[in-house]
Amino acid sequence: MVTFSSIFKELTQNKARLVRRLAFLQVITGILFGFWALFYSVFEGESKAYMMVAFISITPFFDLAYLVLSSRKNEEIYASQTWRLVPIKESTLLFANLFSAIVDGLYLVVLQIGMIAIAGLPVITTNEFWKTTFKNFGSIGEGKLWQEAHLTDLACSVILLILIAIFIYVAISSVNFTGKVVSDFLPEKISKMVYFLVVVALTCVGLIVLINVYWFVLNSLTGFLQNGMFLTTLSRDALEVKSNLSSNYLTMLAIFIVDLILIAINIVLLNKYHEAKI
Amino acid sequence: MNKLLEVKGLTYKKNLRTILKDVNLDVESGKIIALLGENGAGKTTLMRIIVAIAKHYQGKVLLNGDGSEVYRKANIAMTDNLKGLSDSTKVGEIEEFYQKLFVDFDSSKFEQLRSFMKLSNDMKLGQLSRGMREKLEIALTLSREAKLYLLDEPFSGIDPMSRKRIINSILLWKSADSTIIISDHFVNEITTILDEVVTVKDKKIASHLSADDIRAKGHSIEEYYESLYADEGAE
Repeated sequence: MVTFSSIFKELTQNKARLVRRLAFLQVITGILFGFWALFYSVFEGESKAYMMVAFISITPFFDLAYLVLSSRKNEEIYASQTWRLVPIKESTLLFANLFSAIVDGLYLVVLQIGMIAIAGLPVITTNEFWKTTFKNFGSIGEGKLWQEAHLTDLACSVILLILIAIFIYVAISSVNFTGKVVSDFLPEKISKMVYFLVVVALTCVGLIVLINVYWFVLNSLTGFLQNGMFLTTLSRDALEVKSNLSSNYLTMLAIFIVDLILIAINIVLLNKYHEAKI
Repeated sequence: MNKLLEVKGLTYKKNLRTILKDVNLDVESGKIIALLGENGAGKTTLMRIIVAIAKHYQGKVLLNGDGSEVYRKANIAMTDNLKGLSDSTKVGEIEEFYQKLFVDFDSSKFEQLRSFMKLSNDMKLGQLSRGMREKLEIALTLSREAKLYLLDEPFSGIDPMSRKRIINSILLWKSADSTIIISDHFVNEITTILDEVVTVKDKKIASHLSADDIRAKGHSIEEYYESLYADEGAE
């Protein structure tokens, strides 16, 4: 039997190609966008910063593209006879597929940080840049960030983002698996239509959950950037701070539990019903 | 001979259509078996169930008495169309993929088979013709030291000369105690190497005979296969 690490390495390498292609595309797009912005003076402020701002601006689009393409890749792997023939438990395949997508996502983030740092070299080496940045970020500018920022809050925000990424991957798999399983039990003529309907219905439910999660993250990150703390509000009241922090932990726990439930459902569907395509 | 594979009361339905119904099949080790039947008879489905990639069936599939899916996947080598790998993947990279994920994969055997099939390590999957791709699939499958090999229509795209050469050399690539099940339409070309013939018809195993018994009755295997469809016209 093959070990988790063998299949995890193979899947990570497989998806790393996608990361490298996206990173290459981002470099090209970033340079072109940067020069275009410079030529037409699109951004405000120091022209030295244009290239870095261009790279920062396009980063979310490439992260989103990775999320979409890696989700599609994950589903292709579950439907692939080549991968399903590997002598490994279905649950191990699921975890390896899921975590390889997360690890490659982090790899993309590291490459993007590198890109932004290189693009920003002309500007981040100047004192003026740091002064402006401090000014723009309120309490960070007053030097309070490192007094108030808690390491645990930073760790929590990273864990939260990973939990949300896991949620998106497993939710997409759940929708896909459920659609396929339901359509397999119905006549072939209507199976595609039923698959489509199930996917649409479950996607709507997923989107509602996702929008709520999105607002929570936005509030939390805003709180972190403006206040140096991982908060959903900007209140300084100690009691409220405590209660908000607890609610953040509870939300993380809630997402973690939802992830676990969806993973368990996916394992059952993969084990008992979901077949590779011929 | 030891009983290698047991299929008991196997029924498989998909999209409200029964594909296999109460299928029973016993296979001994060390044999070369032809699995014959019309298109859509359920040959591929039967192979997919045996190797544990088709799900939600009724009945039992045991390999050496073990029904676990992981055990079956670890000990059965089935031809795969390699659709799970991108077209830019090179033959050498596919070899590495098999080496890492199948502990019974024998690289030196693959090298021999690769040169026998006239494939180069630098060839990309997307550049291979259908016949070349099938040769690669056969080479990868037979390079595993499996107990049971399932070759699903392995020669359909291969030119007649190469097909003959590969069929005649299959005996060289298998160990004495391993079994090969070949599903194919080119009955007359594989008859020389066959020990047994299994036919799938009307969702069931219609017959399971030894090749010698068929020949003893004065029939060639092709004639015997055609006689099963005499009323409806064989393919």
